[in-house]
Amino acid sequence: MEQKLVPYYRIVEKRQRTLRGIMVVFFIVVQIVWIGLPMLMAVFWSLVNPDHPWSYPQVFPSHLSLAQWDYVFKFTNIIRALGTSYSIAPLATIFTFLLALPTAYVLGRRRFQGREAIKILILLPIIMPGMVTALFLSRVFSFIGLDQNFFGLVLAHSLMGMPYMLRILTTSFEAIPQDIIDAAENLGATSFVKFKEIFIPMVLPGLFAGTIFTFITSLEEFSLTFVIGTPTFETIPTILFSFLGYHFIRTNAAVVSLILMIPNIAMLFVAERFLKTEYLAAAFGKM
Amino acid sequence: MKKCLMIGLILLFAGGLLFAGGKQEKEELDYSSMSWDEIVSAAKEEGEVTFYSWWGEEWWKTAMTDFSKKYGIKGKVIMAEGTATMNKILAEKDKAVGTIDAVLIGGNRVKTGIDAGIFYGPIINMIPHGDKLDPKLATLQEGVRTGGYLVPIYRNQTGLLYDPQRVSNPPHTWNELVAWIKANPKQFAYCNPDKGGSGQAFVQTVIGYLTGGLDKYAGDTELDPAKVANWNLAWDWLNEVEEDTVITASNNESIDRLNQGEVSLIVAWDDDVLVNLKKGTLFKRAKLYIPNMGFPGGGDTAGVLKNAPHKAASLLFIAYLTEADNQIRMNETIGSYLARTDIKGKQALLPESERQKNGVIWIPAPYKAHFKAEFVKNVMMK
Amino acid sequence: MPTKNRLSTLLLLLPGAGFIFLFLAAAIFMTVLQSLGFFSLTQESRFTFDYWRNLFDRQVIDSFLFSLKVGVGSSFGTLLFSYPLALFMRKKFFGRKPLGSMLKIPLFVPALVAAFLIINLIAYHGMLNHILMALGIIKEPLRMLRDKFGWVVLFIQIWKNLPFQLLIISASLETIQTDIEDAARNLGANKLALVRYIIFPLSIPGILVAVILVFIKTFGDFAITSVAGPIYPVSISVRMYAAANMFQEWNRAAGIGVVIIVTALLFVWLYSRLAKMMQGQK
Repeated sequence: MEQKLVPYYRIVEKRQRTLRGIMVVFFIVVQIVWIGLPMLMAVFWSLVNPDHPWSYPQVFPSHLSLAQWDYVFKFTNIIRALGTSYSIAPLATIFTFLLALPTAYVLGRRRFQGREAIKILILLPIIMPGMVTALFLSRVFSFIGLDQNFFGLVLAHSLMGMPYMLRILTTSFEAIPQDIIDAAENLGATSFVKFKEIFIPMVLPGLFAGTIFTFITSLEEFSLTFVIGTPTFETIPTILFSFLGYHFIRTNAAVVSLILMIPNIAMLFVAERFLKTEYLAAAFGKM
Repeated sequence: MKKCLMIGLILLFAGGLLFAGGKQEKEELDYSSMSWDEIVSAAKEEGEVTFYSWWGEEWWKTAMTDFSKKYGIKGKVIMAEGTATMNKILAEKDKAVGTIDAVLIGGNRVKTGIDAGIFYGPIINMIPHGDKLDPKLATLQEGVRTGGYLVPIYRNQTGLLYDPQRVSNPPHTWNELVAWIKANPKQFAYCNPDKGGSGQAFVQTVIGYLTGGLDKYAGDTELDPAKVANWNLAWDWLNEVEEDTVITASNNESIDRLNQGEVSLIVAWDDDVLVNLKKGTLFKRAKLYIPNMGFPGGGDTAGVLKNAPHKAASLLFIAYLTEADNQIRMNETIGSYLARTDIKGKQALLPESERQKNGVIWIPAPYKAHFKAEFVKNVMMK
Repeated sequence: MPTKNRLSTLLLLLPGAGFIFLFLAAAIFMTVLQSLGFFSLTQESRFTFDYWRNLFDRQVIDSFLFSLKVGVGSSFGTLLFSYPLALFMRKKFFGRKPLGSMLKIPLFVPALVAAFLIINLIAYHGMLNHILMALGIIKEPLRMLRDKFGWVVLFIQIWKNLPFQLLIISASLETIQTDIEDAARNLGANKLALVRYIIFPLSIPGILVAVILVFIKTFGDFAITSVAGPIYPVSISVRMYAAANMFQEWNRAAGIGVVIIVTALLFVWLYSRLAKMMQGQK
């Protein structure tokens, strides 16, 4: 039978595709090591059996148990901290959203003088190094009685989440094509209808992304909580900090790390379908 | 309508006055003239207590749970860094009623707290068994006269901890230690004295051996510049061996590095060692001893704040912590040695005889503060 | 714009931007005033330059230089990985989605957790040392924890900030129109030339943003350096915190705070100059 001749460019393309395939496999393996290995070590440390220490020269722990988890839930402040963390985060997110919505609308839909300047100004909580903000905001807070105060913490967390929410919502508002709005206006839509039928559905994905980022920013916020909240209020990160710092104990730190990290990663994978992390890029791609 | 409002306002005002008056009356209770039974019933009336500590959560939480069961007083234990707690106390100092009742006190916070006059008392004679607590720690903590305001809760001791698989002949005298460090480069670790007592213990020992003993500092309440003039000898030596030693960032990090096999001899607190053994973060074969050259030990105390909202309950909780059974349980849980001298604990990495023979007291607070600052300048910055 | 409209714009701007402005202006105001001797906690408040005169001792200078090194090192170090990855991720290929999701994970790992994860990895008997020894690259485990240079801090920062830079750079690469590329390719440009003369110059604005944002984050870092950084020098934020909360030297801390803010703003300004220059070139 006559053999079909494969054109040269096909061979090159095929070779390139194989090369790319090898690269993809390589990157995925690197990623598994890069991300998976550190996480595996944390899981192991959280499962160390107190009767069989994990120490030199063992590569892996010889026995596993849940005793470390039991210990952390029984004796540390983790339950109180979980309560604090997960009540501040939603409150701060809602508060941030309420404040951000009108501002983002104006920034996204109206052209006015000083708009660019304000768009940079709203990045200040990110530009200002966290500890400086924390330390001197705590002085301001203690003058107005918000130091060591739950509402003060919600305010502080909103401040840190605000740039994300504002920037992402602004980008979403900017992206709405003017002709849709014009068309609606021609059809006699009132402001309320316009908002309800056009703006809200169209910024919804951005709102979703903004909410997630604000929520996560609040969950992992450390500096402000450490200075303004502790010792009265502890969140999961401040507990983790103590187990990594003056009270360094790997097993406890491992448990608290996992408690802090697992919901976040779950959120990433559950939200992946709806959440475009690209929103973050679009919002911060230009300062 | 207006009339109604007026009456309402007047009622509110009167109520406020009554409330304020009632509050004032409550504050004037003088516990020092009360019998212990009266204090106990006052404590039950208060019904609440908040205790701050920076370590040993396992014991304080267990003790508080049992305390609550016994007396029906709601208790809260808050674990927080000592400095953060002290800053909160200082910030609340001038309020009539604060939010913290009782605190565990140790390290440089003893001096800060006593100097700022934040404690209520003297209380040591109010509580039962107050006279059976270690008299040394009851008068002098970290070189500071505590005047009965602070009640000893436990004693602890620093020593050398090693891995017997790799160290067969642990050093006992100063010369042996120096020789060991030189012979085993990067195998000896101590923590930055600014970050933990075990590091302070080592630096104090170095100062004692290289600058003419520790006796001359005893009883000083202020730093005498003449006495620290030759401390450069200590800094020179520490610099000389810096390459051969490992400096860590906390008491526990030293223990972790031993567990990792990075070093084989470290300075550690006896109670920290026990906690790590119990958690599985230190191998069971580790051995602790106090070298013959002497290593410092001390202890920590608890105090009630002047503006504590629940003073009687605080006194009752501190008394509870010093009860014989609870002292023994504490010793078994976190390994700290009993503050009571009339009873003995079972759990001790170090035998009592070794403590008596080789344990030495801490250098007075101003000197400790001085060497912490000088260590940074003369060793770490070099 | 009619006056009424202008008023409503202002009113609508207030909740978001005003909120940020109010608190941050208050914080900055407090920092500056305190560094000049006002709001003193321990001494009488008065106007003085004393705190500024005595600010720059060896410890502060060492810490400042260390943080600068960490900031520059992490932002460019991350770029070293993120840029090639972003180039690779441009094309559609099989396995791109799962790879993309995996790459994003550290974005959702809190910084402190990232520090802990890496500390375990690089410990004396951590996995990294075991692997290197098994491969015969080293004979004895390396002592990496709290190394004097701060490599571990850089490692953690790169691990944590890689996805963030990747996202921003990928977005900026996406805006490059394919027809420019096609034209270049038709003119016979090979891959390297394409990247060097077309793609790289066009993606510089994105790179600038990515680098500057990571720089600011890492320069002011407190938690990671105190958990994994060298015993000495500590980062400038740690130094400031210690001055305020350990030694109650609030005025001195405020001076350090002003130095940190000014440095961060200086880099933002430098960025905006560079960005303008780039626009001018286009």
